[in-house]
Amino acid sequence: MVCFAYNIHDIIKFEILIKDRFFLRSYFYRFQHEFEYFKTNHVDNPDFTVEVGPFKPDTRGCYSLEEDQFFIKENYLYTRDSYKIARWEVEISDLDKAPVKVKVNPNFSGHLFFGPYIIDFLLRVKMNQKGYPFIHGSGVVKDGKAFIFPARSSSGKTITTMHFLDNGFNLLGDNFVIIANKNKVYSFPSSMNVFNYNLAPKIKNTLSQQALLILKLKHLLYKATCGYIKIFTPVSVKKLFPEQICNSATVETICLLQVSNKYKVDQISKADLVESLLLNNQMDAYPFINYITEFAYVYPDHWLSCHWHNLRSNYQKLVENIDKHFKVTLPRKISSAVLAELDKIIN
Amino acid sequence: MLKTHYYNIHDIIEMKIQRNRILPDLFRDINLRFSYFETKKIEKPSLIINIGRFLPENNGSFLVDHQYHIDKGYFYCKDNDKTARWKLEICGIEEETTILNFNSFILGLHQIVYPDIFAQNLIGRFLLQYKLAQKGFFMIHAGSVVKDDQAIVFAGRGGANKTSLLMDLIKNHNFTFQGDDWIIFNKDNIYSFPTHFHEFNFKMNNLADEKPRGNIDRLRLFYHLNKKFDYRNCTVNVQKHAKIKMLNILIKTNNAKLKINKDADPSAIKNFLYYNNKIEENETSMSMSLKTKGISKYLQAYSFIYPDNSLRRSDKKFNEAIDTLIENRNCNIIEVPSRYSQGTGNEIFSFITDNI
Repeated sequence: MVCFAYNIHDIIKFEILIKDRFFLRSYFYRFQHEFEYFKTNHVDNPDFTVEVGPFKPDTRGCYSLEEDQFFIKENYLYTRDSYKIARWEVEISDLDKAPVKVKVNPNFSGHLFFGPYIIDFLLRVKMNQKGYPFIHGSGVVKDGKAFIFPARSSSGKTITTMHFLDNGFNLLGDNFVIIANKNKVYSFPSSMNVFNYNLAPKIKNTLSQQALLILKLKHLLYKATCGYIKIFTPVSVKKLFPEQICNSATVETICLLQVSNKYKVDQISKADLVESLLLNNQMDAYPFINYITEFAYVYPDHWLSCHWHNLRSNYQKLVENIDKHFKVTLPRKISSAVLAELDKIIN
Repeated sequence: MLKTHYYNIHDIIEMKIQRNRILPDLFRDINLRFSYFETKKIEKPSLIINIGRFLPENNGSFLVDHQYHIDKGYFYCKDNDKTARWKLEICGIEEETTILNFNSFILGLHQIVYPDIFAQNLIGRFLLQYKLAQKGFFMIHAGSVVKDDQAIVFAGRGGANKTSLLMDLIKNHNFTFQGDDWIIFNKDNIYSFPTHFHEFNFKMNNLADEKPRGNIDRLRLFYHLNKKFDYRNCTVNVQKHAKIKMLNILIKTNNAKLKINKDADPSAIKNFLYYNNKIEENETSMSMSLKTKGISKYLQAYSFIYPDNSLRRSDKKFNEAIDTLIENRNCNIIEVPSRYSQGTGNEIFSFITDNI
């Protein structure tokens, strides 16, 4: 059994215990970059622990829902789930205590999904409970002022981030940033998920010949299966720009990014911005969003069931104190002229 | 060969389904789940579903997640999960007539035997729900039976033995059927909404409860489903309209005993009904190999671009409608044991007669 410990800005600590030998190799390949920035040797009082490997669920006295797909009782949830060819079973117990105990048993291809689907989301839920919600978007910093670009995936986050980093900005996160009270923002430099379409030249130069070949093969697999199998390549941020990662800053501007045909900048109302931030977060939350809904069906007043409600109020707190908020519509292919326009907004 | 079907749902709404079918229709009742409402002619359909190949008109749209093409009142995407691959286009979301174009390919028997059900389950039913909500009528995932013009509604998640219980009450205790999967309500009026009615009819006449036991039962069901069926003249009667008298939530537990919480807290009931619909929205009620979630992700993508849209407003309307439905109503929560038996049905029946 191998144990990995992580500490995220002293807000959340968690451990991953791996029993399965096969999974260990897969883990090293796929997830070591994901939380690399936060890795420590040992944590005391973790907020949750994740055990990977076969286990026996304790479903005595449970409510059973969806033709016995979900088993729910007080502070307990067990489910068997699948997505495409991946399958996994999850048991979450002791939801009211610390640590929350999570057991996961994924199948062969389930290994690919259990990280982003279970751990990431558990982290987000726990962080939000403590008042530190995540925003799906990139964040850059100059002179202690943070500029946040909430966006859906593949809407030009990586390209714009690269542009700003070249112009002397520092990085908070390419994919996620963490919001705290008083407009403070913490970094979350997770690995960059690279696919054919967001391969910026700066990343391309750091990759080895072998990695580039694998990238091409993955794209070929994607084309051959008509989009059924899409595997991202994780690239470590720590390796790419070790000097430019910034720990925390104060939020100055929020620019919601959307993709259409023409470049356009609009004002966005505060209420709409909160909704968009919330929806942006919800769309990443599959399939965990279903687990929360099933849990809320039985226990509506539990803190887990109130997650979306709390997230909205946390976002409202953030948006209230910020004066500069825009909606930027980017064209599908981002030219240097568009990037120059973006510079203008920030200045 | 192009086939057109017209539906009239209680004169509230009219719907049209057009599909391209070369092979003869097998399992017609499963393939076209709203067959109970089929009519010869309609005047103005609010919802048109076209199943088959189509060319999307996705120019000038927003793009979300590299996948969803969105414009005001317009949605187009290609998607896949498990053994299925599909593309869909919805036009005129904010207008009076909404058009859904849908094309899917499912690996295996589904594609040959009942391919058109996928469009109706994945997204057609949701649009129907939305269209009804615009007129002030709401669908809830529940079953209902009637006695003396008083409707008794049972809501619950899949697998909570709703259908078995309804069959039991109709067979042994002289209730009339209204719907076992969905019903329509407007204030305190309950309207029938039988889906897969032919199948339900067979189960009522030939089986002990909702699940066929053994292969012989299953073969009989398949044989029966391919025979001609008259939806208006059959052994199971359907009551079109009734006033609601009692509302019960069924929830399945691992315990061996039945437990009834009388006069439950209205906020708890409201929560049950709301989430029940929310979860069911996503459900395709297909075989295990094809259980896939779609609609809520599409809805979120659409709302991400247009946060204030009529699809989300109808969700709010539904929330308010539940309030009026359960106000001063006799509401109970029934915890059903994991194995349904005749005894459970009898116990629930005696509870109903005592409290009506």
